[in-house]
Amino acid sequence: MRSEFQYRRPASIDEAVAMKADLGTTAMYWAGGTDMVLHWMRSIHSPELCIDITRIEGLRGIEIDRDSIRIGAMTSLDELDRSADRHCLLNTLSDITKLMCTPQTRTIATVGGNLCNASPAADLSPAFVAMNADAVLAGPKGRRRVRMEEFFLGVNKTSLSGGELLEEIRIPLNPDLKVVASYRRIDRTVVDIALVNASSCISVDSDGVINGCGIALGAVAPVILRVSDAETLLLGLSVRELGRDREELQKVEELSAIAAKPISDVRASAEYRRQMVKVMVRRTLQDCAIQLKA
Amino acid sequence: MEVAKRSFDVIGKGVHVKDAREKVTGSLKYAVDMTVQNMAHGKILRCPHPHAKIARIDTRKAEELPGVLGVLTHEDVPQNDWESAWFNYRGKVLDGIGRFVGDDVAAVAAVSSDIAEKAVELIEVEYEPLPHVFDMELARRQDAPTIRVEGNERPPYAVKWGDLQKGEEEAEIIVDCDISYMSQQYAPLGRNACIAEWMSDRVTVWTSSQTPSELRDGIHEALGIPLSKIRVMALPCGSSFGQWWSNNFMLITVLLAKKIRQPAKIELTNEECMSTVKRRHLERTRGRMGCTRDGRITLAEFDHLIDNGGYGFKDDVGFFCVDMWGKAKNGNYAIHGINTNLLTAGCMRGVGDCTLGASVERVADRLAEKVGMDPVEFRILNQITAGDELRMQHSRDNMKGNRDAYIEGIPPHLRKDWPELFCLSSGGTRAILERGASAFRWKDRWKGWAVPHAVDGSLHRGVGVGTGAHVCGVEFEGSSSAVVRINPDGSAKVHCSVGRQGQGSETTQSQVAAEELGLPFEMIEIETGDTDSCPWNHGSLASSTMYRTGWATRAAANDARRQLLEIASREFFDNADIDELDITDGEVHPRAEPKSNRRYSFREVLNELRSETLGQTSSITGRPSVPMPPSTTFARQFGAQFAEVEVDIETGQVKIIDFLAVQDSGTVVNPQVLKNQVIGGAICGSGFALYEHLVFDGETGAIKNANLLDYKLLRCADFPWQAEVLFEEAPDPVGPFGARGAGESPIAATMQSASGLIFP
Repeated sequence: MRSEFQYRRPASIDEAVAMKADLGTTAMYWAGGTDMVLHWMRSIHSPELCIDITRIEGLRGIEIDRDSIRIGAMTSLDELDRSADRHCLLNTLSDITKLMCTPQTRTIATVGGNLCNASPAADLSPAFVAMNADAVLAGPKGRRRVRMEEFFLGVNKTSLSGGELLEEIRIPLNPDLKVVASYRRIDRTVVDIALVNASSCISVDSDGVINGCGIALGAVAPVILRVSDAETLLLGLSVRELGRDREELQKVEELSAIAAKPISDVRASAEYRRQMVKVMVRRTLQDCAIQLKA
Repeated sequence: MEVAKRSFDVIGKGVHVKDAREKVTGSLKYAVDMTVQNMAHGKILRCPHPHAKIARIDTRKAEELPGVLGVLTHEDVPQNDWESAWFNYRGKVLDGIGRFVGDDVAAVAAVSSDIAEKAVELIEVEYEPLPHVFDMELARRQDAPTIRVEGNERPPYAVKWGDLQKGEEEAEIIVDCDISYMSQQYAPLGRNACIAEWMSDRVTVWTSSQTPSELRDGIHEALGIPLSKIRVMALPCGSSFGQWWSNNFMLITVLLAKKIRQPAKIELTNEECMSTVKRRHLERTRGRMGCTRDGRITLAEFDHLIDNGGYGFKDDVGFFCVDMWGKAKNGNYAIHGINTNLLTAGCMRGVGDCTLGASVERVADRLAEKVGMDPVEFRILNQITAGDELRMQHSRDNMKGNRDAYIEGIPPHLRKDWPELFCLSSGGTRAILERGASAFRWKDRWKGWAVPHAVDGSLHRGVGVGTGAHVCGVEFEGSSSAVVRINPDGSAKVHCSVGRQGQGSETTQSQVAAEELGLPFEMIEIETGDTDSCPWNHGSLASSTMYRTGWATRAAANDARRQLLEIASREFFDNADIDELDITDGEVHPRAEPKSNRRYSFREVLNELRSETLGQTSSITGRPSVPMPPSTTFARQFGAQFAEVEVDIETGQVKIIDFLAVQDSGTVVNPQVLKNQVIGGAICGSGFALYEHLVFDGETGAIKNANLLDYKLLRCADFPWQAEVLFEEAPDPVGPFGARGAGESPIAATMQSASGLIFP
């Protein structure tokens, strides 16, 4: 760690955001620190003030009510992992955390930290986008809600501004619909970041007709992409059609591949990534169909 | 030559490795953990160009920075060439030319590493860019930029036998190949550092190295000072696989410390470890192999290129797959080493045998496919077993068929006890293939070429087999020696500078000494790094540690044992012939009466000597008295491996589902250590076959994935937990207690077993 810095531990969100608003970009929040410490060591960040938010009441934990699932930003990946049996969407998120880093790191890394790091290859981000989640941001002027796909602005860039802090993620629920989600990624070894990833979330009514659909792609653009035109195609279809070779499904794959704007880098070629978008999207939809059947 | 199996007290026991507790508690000291008093911290300035001459270097601004103690440039460096073991580096420490991006240009010493790092940026260098070449095919051409004064390519290492034209005529099927290999990185999990401290005109060096003696030789060559003034204290290097031998940054540390007249330490970052030291060669095999309809190979013709990068000099090199497939009546192999403006390449675990070897395996499998033969049977038919001729005739000067002259040059009194030269002394692949095929249920699981045995949607499963061979150490750079000292308290110490690269040599060498001395294993300790107390040793390389150092350790222990028995005979057993005495559990007794009360501990024997003959030392030092036979001419190790692999045909992802290795390393000295070696090699080989490769920038040749995020090593969970290792123990007539080498055939066998069933 190269820079010298001050360390403070505010007791409340208000105190934290006030500190951050005061010092601007030279201050940084410390959540799990697992990404930040790497940036720090490589001098990508050299903060003058480290604001430790690990002890702030209310930032941690998962709550489910009729209309939404609330995930506190300071919830650790490990806590999310252990929430699998509380809701079917949490089950999907739990499976995702198992792909992330290593068990040791998961005990300190946080959901909020993972989102605020805004890596286009992050594993949780496309799932939250597909689930229609909102980010709740707390700032000196109060709270605001941002749709998850608008939270990400670029590589390591979010819509947080002026001292704002990510307080929680809200996943909307509709008690009249059954909802399932799936996430798939291309990786090479057990500890890897996604070369390509995709997530789908499907809601169906009691007749099995698709009423809501979210499809999100990661690692194929600087931000998480939401494929709205593909989502629309699936609305009104019967879930039984999802597993079959339907024209709509092929179209969804193609629209997803068109939406993707991948680059070639040390991990994979753009061509491979574009091809894999189709496979990943198809597999997430098939997963959803299987879950809905069960 | 048949060697009878015998029972042992310590050999063959899976005793825990000696430093297990230190490792798990984190107390084992590696070079990065070392400090010495008043130590300066060094940093290296690295070349930003693929090939450039330093036209001007101005260090004044760096020297003026508070806290800087001195700057070392090529102008301070003696212009002597030094050479690392096995031509892994040849050149000057610094000579004012950068030959790859990341090459060493200068070094700064300061009171802290932060200051040294800042000062490095203040050195002003005016580079005169030189034309560069990355592709080894282009680097061989007449008009290629010259990277080395010796030329970019020297004559190949070649071996030829039989009548190629006849082989071609007899071949009913011929398969061609052109196979390229990407470059694997050693990718050590630990970093390395070097500390040098001068006292007057003597220097002591602490670093993590597998080859302490070779490092001392290198310092001697580079600085031109007597070997007696250089002491290398090699520390454990952890998983090294050939990376931490003698490396140029160590030589820079020595010269930097000399210049500032103060101890200095250079500690490499992870990125430096992966992008500035060395790597496996980029390689390319072109060739063909032909066989008859009944599967007998009549022709093997291969031309193999390896790129040495900037400072590698490896062209005088034999690969032992040539021997393994040596039943072919007619053969022609040539191996060319070529310099390029890429990071230096050197020997990495299984060098050549997991590249050229994998190419030959792949071509052989294609032949087997065409003649409709099972790949296990095809190997058994065409690979060598004990007594068969070794084709490679490997020697420092590549004898090119002059084997008879070589043999006649050896004094007959030495030769008479040796196995037949240029013939395999023991082992082979037949036994391990048969055993493995049966244990893996190969015949049930193998459904034919490119036919999966199970399909689940896009997931296809199939099985593959691979074989690998390697040498058991080489004698051309010197004969590895060892010393065994029995202390007055009855404990013993082995001194052999093999370094500690984590494979367990400190434990297995101690087992050899314990067995030979008749002393309990716990009474033996070992020094593996201090060149002042250890005789010259090649180090842990070329799979030589058990075979060649083990031979020396056993000979040294035998010599110490003889001396001890002579004293015991004189003092306690009425000058009995020492053959009539024996040692059990550290006590000397009459051989015929193992339970006799007339038994004297080592301590009693040595103290008797001290009390009677005042002034005489009461410890015993044993050493080998005759040279070890030139084992390159007869000893090999073999591995056969079987893998079940699952391929996702839509995404290209590959998983290894099940794995079995059968290893032929002669007598197994420690089954735990050997199992670890074999599985480690298999994971490393699978990684190379599936994912591991360095990515070079097309414009500069710089390495773009010098980190463990983007350089993908397989983790334990990527390899099947139920992987099994079996041993076939055909004992060797020369190796200690029948043991042979082990470290490098496993990785060679994995290349084809893990990837051979995947058809493009």
